[in-house]
Amino acid sequence: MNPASAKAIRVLGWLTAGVLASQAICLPAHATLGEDVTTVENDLIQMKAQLRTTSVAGYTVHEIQTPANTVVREYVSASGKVFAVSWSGPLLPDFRQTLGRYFDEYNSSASAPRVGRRHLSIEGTDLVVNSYGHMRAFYGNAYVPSLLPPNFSVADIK
Amino acid sequence: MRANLVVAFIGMLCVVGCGGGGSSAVSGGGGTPAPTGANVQPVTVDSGPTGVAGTSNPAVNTLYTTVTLCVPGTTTCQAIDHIQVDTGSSGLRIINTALTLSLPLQKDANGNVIAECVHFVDGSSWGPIRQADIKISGETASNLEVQVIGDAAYPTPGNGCIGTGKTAENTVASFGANGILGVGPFIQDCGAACNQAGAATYYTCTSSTACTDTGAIALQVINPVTAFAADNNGVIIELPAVSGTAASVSGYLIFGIGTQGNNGLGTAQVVTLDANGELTTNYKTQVLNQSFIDSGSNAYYFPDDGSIHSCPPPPDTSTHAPGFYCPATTVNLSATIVGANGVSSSINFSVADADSLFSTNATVAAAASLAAPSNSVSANGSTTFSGTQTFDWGLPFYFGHNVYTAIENKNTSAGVGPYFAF
Repeated sequence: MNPASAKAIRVLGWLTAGVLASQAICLPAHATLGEDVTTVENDLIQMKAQLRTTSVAGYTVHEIQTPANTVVREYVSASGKVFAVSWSGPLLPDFRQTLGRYFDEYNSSASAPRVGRRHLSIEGTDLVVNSYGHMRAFYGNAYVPSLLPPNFSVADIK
Repeated sequence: MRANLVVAFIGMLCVVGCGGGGSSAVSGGGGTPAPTGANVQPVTVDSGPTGVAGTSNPAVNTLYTTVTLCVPGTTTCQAIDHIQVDTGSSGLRIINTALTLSLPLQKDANGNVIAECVHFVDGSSWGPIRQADIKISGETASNLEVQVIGDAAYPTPGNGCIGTGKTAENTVASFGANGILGVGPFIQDCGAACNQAGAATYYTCTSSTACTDTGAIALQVINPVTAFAADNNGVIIELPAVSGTAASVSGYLIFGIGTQGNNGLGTAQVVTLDANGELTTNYKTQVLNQSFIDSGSNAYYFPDDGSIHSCPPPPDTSTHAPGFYCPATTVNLSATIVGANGVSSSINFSVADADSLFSTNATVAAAASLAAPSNSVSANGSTTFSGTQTFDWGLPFYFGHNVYTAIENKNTSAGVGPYFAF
């Protein structure tokens, strides 16, 4: 099997899992970057959001959609840690909620002087943030390198 | 962020000894003769306003113009220079320290002041909405909503605004401009996303320090062009080509598309936009469907496929250009812009070594081949991250192209906006 077809099959599996999960009404637990998955659904409450969960080999993706249609995805390892988050939508998510303990580090980095305001890349000691886009369309991701599952490619953070 | 980190080092070098600067001034754009008329506004690319130029963080590839604000219905006016011209946003925003006029506050139906937490990629800017008559070239927008960023009368960002990141863009130095003139493809700045509470964008204030995210409000900050009596369907930015770098560039911001003798589309190709104001860029093997054209971006930003060397990203300071592409020799590339209407246009561009661009003593306000990855290399330094679907055609794309921005729902000679044409 060549790499391209392997990828196609994995995407198909992802979608199938998504359909199954979305048919189950019960809401799985989740939390913020670097935290354990818990039964506290803070994000859902804070964001007044809806949740969909999908699983692929080695990790689970919790997808949250806010009323403003910003989608936040949280990547949870088999050991139950949120190792990455991504966002996409017309407004920024609440980073206090999604980045959790990493918010302060993000914040101090983000407030460094700069001119360009369409792209931001931060590589801290154990935090990587990419944020880009423009008014009405914001994209980005953040992950904790030390928490990445074995063999996980950060290119899979969508 | 990147640009300022870059130029911080220029400032340090200049302490050692800056003569007259080595780069030249470039003017023109729009062919000959220069465009004239009541809809023609001069624009410049230079090192920025007082408080930015000549500091350790001068501006790079930032397009500016001067906007006159007046107390509504009066001749009490103030011309403010170095307002950034931005096709990636909508609405006029002024940094409070650049504003000497006393402008009336915009209020909602209940008499409460309206304040805004406007989101940018790396944070947000906070301030109330005031009203002004706006004059640019011969055009006027009366009673326009203007956000006054950092306004001392309403200093406390509302709940939720904090979560977008530190509201650091509240000074001229951090903003890199005295304000921003958003002339993008949308009429309103936020649109439908702000029609409910929790958007953390529009707030109503019952006191100077008590602002609440109440959700839907009738009013949003709008693209000033749409409030003109005429020439209100879009803009053209005309800048000359830049060879290498320049200390300054001058050109024109022309209002209207096909409304006057000086703003016809000519042979420009029209590429229409999706609901996000975006188009597709085909670059190498990648189909980047979250791409955009943006005078408010200071470089070409596109995914790093590992073939072009990048200087280490911030907070690294070992180079003059942390986070930018730094190939050993200039790389000539091409990519194809594809509109939602299927119209495609192949664009040639170059990527120069940003480290060497900024390693001279010369003033570099414009750099035609400045580019950066639209993603970061991963922390282990060996794996490239290719998750982004964005090719951002920033201000370097405008050097040598006349770029038309048609506003949503507005009729033009080439159909209804939104679209870009070039």
